[in-house]
Amino acid sequence: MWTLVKIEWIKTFRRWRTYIGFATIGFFLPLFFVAMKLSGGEFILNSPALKSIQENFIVIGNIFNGMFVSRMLMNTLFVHIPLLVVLVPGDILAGEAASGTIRTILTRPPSRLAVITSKIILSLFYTALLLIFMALLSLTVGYFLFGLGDLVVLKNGILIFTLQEALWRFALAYALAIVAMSVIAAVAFLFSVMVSNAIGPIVGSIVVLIIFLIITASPIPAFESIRPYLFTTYTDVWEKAFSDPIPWTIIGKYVGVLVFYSTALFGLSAFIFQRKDILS
Amino acid sequence: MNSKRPSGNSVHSFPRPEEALIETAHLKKSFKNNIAVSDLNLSVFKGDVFGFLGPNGAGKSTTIRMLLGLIHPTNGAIRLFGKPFPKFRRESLLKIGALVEKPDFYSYLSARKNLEILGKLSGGVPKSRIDEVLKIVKLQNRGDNPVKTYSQGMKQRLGIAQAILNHPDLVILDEPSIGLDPEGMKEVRELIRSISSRGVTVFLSSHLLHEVEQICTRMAIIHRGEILVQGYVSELLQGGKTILTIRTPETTRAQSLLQASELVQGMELQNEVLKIQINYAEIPKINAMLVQAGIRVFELTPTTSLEDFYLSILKQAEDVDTRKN
Repeated sequence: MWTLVKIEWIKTFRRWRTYIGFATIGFFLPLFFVAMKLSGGEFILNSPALKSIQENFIVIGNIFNGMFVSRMLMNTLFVHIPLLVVLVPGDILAGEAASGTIRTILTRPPSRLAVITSKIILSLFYTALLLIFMALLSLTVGYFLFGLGDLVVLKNGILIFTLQEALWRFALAYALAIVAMSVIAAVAFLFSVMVSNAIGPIVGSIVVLIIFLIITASPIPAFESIRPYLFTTYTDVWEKAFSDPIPWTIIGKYVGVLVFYSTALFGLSAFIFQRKDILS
Repeated sequence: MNSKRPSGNSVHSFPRPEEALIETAHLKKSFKNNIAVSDLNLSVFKGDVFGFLGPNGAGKSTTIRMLLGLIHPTNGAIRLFGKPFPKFRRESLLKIGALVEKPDFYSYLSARKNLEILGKLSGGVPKSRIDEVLKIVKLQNRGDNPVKTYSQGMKQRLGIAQAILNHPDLVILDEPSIGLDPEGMKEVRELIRSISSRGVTVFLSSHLLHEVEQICTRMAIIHRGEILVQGYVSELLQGGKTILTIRTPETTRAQSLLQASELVQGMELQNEVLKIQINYAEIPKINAMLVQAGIRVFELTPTTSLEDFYLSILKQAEDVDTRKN
């Protein structure tokens, strides 16, 4: 299995397409931070809530620091990150079917189950790597442009976390985000098993995501009964890392549902792949 | 799986199932309402260079894909190396090298890297073996270039290289000459001969009759998913119809005489040359008939090409189909 995963690693990371996600984050994230720096953050610091904090609390360092901007970025980007996450899982099997290399692989001794398992592992690995890259870049750029300090969170009131606490909450938030994004990766992967072109799974999974997000966010009462069954209801689990106290029970439930979705979708993909006739 | 002789008009008896590397029994594959392969009984023996002939859409690729586990049969059974497939899939595929339809590789990787990856999937190969197969297919100087820079012929050769990479006992090649120029086709034929000379059994699917005629020892013809004949190429051709070319200044008389004969199964006149279709064994009788009638004969040339044989077999099958409908 380890050999198959290594082979998937070579195939994936020797293609420029794999780096689109990293390049997009690598370009957009510093741009976002620089734009914030140029604006001086005044439009945020002058908001009534933050003004009140500065007047009534002793905050160590600057409120408008790297931690604060990094969390803003998480809020802004997490709607768009799935578009980058699906690039590799959506292509990982469909791309091989389109190029015909799937025939070459499957006429070799490893079983279909071993082949698809290695691809699932690689898809999860890519998803995690993309988010870890985003986390590290965000904190690094934030540190150099704004410095680090206490984190102020405006959420059902005002929460202030010390730098040390804020850092581990960031780590927890990104870990939870990886779990959430793994479901998106699994949706793209399922599409990838079913079709033989690279674009279909990417577009398909984005369409599913948009529809689910609309239903999740929509206040229409008729959607209430189906909302608990949509994975998008649980993908904002990362935000819970910035609540106080941390709602571990809710996080546990959300993670459980998300892991169930990932497992079910990857399992279904493996089932379909095992039974599929390779006609490409 | 039974060990009986395969069905079809096989002419040679070879009850040696212990040596069969490929055996299928009543193999069937249908896609919704379309039957791609029907009741296919095939036997390929150790040491064969087996030609699998048939027109486009006859079921050749579907059969090969079933033999390699790419397609699941609707019915029937497969034995590879005497063991049921896919039950012993891994064991069988360790001994098989295959090129299914066009050779597809990771185009952004070099030939060497592609071979390294495929070698690892089959348990690993030393670097020296990669160099060796690249040399065999004459790609040693281009091994480090990305495959996307390769011509069709080079990709085809690389396809054969990956098929023989792990020292297989059986090589399955599906249309290996497709898209190649005459020089490329010749190179592929030479490669197949060279593989076979090392004791490797070759299963070659093709619709290029001269290719099969030149390199195959045994063959089967598949049409609309069914095997029409299988056996040794030489024996099948001998038992088949022969085209007899007759040169005579008295074509009209010869034509009337032969038309009346039951021995003649087909006739046409081209540029004052008469061509008749008969069984090879009947040639002396035709000769005698013409001489006895006082017809001066300048030339009698029998030709039994695979092309004639193939076309006559297909025509018979189509006639049967027409009658059924």
